Amino acid sequence: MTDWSALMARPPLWLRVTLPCLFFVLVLVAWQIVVQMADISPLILPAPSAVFDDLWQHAGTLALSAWNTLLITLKAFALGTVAGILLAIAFSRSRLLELAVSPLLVLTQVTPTVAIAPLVLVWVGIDNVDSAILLLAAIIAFFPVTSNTMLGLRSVSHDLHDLFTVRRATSLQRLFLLELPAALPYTLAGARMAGGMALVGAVVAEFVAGSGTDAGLAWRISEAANRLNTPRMFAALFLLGLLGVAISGALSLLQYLCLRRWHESAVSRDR
Amino acid sequence: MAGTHGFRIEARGIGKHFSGQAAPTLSALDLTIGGGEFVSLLGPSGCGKSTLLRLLAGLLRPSAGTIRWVASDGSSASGTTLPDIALVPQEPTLLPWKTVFDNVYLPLRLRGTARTAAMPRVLDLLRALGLEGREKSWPRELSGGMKMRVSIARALVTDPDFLLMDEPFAALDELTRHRLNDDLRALYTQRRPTVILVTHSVEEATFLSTRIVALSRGRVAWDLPVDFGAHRADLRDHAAFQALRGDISARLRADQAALS
Repeated sequence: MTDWSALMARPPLWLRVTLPCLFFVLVLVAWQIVVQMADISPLILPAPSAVFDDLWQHAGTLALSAWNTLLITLKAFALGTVAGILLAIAFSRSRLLELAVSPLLVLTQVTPTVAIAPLVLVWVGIDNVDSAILLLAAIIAFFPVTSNTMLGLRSVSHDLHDLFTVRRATSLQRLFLLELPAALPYTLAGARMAGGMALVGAVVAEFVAGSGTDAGLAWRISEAANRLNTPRMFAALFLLGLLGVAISGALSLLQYLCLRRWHESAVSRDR
Repeated sequence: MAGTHGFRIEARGIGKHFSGQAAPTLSALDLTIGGGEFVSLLGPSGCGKSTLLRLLAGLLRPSAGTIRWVASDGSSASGTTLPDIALVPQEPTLLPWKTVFDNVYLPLRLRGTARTAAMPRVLDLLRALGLEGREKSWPRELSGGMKMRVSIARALVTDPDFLLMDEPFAALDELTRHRLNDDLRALYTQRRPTVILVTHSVEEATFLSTRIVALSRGRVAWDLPVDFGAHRADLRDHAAFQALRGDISARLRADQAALS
């Protein structure tokens, strides 16, 4: 019993990987059985076998679309993260700027992307839909980075600030040697959120804006919907889910690699 | 040698009144601390010891009075001619994302000293403070006493003219405290910086200092030179030491009684 509770308290990696995979397979099997037994129309709910069959048949097109979505997500993520960090630094330097600008930023966050998409499209998307999608996704992605990084920059210990003051550090030294490293755990947590949101932004923006030169997964989904090709929709959704898991996993790994040696959140303690 | 640069601090008519507080923390305080002295600031909690230290460190501005840094030729220092000051705070605040080596190297890095050039100096200090072989450790891997040693090494790495310490050993067990007191005394004898130590421990003050300044009601209550000649390892057991320690405790009790 104690073995079991110890295992659950600190589940090893193999368990954390195999358990959800096993559960996923279980869901697929149940799904397959239900669809076959109840004889559900593939237009409503295709069996997993039909979905994977479609995925296999159109692997090339779908993979290319997934690649396009991934590219735009990564670009939006990079743009959003860099802009987010720069904004946080600017705010931490000027309270006046923060007071003036931050309500406007909150406004961009509470307004649904779908609602601002047509406007952004008119501004930048007429000739270049891709950059409109990129901008929309970045607008969604930057906010968690900004707010988290700001929290981190403000959480630096006063004693450490005093140390830098007494040692007459320049403001650049203070920023790069004290504030940004101290804020890193917060920034990374924000970046993890931003990764997921950049994907959401890329998909939503493509739904609204339509596809640019390179069709992404959202385009495939709406195309399949128009043709009532439900298995294709599921296949694209499945790839979208995979992308999301991959992005989240990669960012978790980055977080772990950056913090593993010094931050409490990444250090395991013997019990 | 740092201490022989001969800076002295002249604090004249220092007052400090924090907003929202009824009485000023410091009022009309005069104090001169000369090059190479080891001064302990004693006094009841809230008497303004730490505030005075933070004023001297330049972390606070006085509400009244002036603090001057005077060079040996009598000229006032300002800007780039200011003496090198190091601060050891109560908590050993190390950068958790840097190794022991890089934490100690930090003040030199802020001055633009290259890592390789700083290496002998940093390693030398780590050895002197019993941290040999620990240079690649992370702060979270160290005990409280070791962290404080790193904090002291970091303060000493620039061979500062002034070493300001704010109850650095308060949170440590007695044995560790004694060992660090011994080490600090040895380093002081060797390098002779001017040290200003805020402490609650009469024994620590008596053992380490060349001068004890007691604060009460925001000003200097009394000022006492301490002279045991050259440092002896068994100083704590000497009758003269015990007597002085008792005397200082009695004075502090009298100050406290006068307050209430």
